[in-house]
Amino acid sequence: MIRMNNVSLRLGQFSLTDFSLEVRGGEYYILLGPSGVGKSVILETIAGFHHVEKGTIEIDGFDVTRLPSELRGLGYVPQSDLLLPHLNVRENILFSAAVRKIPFKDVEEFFNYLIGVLGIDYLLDEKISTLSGGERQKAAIARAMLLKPRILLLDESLSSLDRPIKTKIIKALGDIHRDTGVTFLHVTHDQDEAFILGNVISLMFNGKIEQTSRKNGLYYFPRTMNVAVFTGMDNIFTGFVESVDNENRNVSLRCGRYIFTSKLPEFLTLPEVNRDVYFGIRGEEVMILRQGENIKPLLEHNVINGIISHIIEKTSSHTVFFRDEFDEFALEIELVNLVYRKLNLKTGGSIQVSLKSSSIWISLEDVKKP
Amino acid sequence: MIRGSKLRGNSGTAWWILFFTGLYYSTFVIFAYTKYNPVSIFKILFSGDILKALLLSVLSSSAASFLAMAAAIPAAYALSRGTGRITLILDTIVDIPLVLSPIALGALLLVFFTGGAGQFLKGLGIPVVFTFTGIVIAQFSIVTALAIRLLKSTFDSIDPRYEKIARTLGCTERQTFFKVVLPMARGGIVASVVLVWARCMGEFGATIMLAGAMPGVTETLPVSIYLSFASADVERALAVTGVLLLISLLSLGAIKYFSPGREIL
Repeated sequence: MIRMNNVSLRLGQFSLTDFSLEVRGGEYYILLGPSGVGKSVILETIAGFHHVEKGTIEIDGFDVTRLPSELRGLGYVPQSDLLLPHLNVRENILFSAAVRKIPFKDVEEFFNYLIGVLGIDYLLDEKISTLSGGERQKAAIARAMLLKPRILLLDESLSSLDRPIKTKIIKALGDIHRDTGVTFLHVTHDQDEAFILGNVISLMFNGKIEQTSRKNGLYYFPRTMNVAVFTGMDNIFTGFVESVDNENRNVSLRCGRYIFTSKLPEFLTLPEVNRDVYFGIRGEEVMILRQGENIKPLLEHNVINGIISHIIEKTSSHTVFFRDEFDEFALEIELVNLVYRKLNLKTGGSIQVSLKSSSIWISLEDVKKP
Repeated sequence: MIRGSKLRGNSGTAWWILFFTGLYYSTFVIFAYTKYNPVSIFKILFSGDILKALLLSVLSSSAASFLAMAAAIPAAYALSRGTGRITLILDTIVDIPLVLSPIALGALLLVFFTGGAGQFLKGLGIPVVFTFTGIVIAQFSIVTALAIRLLKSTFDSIDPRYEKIARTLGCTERQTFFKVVLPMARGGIVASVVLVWARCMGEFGATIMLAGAMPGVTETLPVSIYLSFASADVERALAVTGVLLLISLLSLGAIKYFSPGREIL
């Protein structure tokens, strides 16, 4: 468990003010956000690299704010591996045991597990200079994990790797986390990495956590515009809350000539009536209705007629640009190639779309007047 | 195409300037050793007093280099990792011997060691002025600054994040220095030892001020050249110069051999 209580510190131009964070024991916690918002500083502060001016840091209930790094019981995997160039791979991985004079036989079983799960058993006698980026990062993970730390901190550890290597390491990290139960705190700007690995994901902007969600709640139900834009919400509109059905959690939103119904999940706060809000829907959640098809009850509220104004072909999907029949409402629709081919869509063709009420997201943030 | 030709042209000009600079230095050596009889110069090399001067230089340079490195390694590390105004002031102070005339530093040393400090050391049975100890102190005073400068650039080239990672792996501050920093600085330390030792071997100004030029007592190789010229024995001076030249060449060769591709200064 990690707890940061109102931590403040200053590092040159950057400052962190009253920052709090709680990571429960055994969680795979992701701190997501664009570059330069202070994610790495938080990890470095937990690791003991920076002097905390105010506030406390606890690891497993112990106040470690003034403890040196070596007494905090943590592992740290930086973006660039920083393996010691004068040692080979085996010596690097066993470095923490050597420093603490722990005999090899005491760590042998876990050492063998780590090199097996990371697939680096063939590299042990290699010099660091001969390794690829992915191999280096795997060795760095094994080195940080060797003594089963209380927490493992990963600082953009996979950011500089190619996708195929990254996918393998993501799988290995998931396995290590599951098998050891160690608390992982992983900083990244990569949403795929975050959503695959994280049990809990926090999105950070300007030294503050903007939203924390379990799994992909951040992706489908962003609470603020920052979160919506960062997670790539394709379709964002402003609307007026006409009514709220507290029992069924249905919200009626007026947007131009349309009234949309949104059904919000239990964990989201319902908006107040008679106010402007931002709302939206992800491109892949927009349904294209086939001619003559019976509309399911969930889809029948938010149906719009219009035409396809443009289609962009991508590697695994197509983006279909939709405009309503009055040229007042536009949507981007994301279709995987298989579905796209089945629908036989063409630019200029008329279609009917439905915005599934349970897929419509509403932000409680105040709408900025233009 | 034009740009490429221009680049080659510039590079060619630079190469010729380098060639003539090399030739400029080589000319002195060639001229000196062709003007005088190389055979008789070679014979002088093995005379007892030159071998004694060589031994004195080797011993004093080795002692001074050892002391200089012992002081410079921690000092350079502190300068490299330090920030703030005091570090900047200390950085400037330790650079002074690099630009100050060695004879001026020697004068300051002489004044210091003929005062209370010298009397105190003499009382302890360690006389400094006009002694072997004086040679070591003079050489140490000159080369420590050089050693700090060389080692600081070595430590600067080591990413401090290695040290932070080492701390998370269980190293104390001291263990981090010995298990991470020193092994990573090994190449730079070896190069610095060689350069510092070679500089000690050639030290003259501060040495002659503090230890004097007493034949057979404080006669290091450079002092020996001075004494030879003072008695108009040019062949002897050239013999000793030859020894120093050889030591310089071997030292530089060793650095280039052991540190391929490294920029030493």
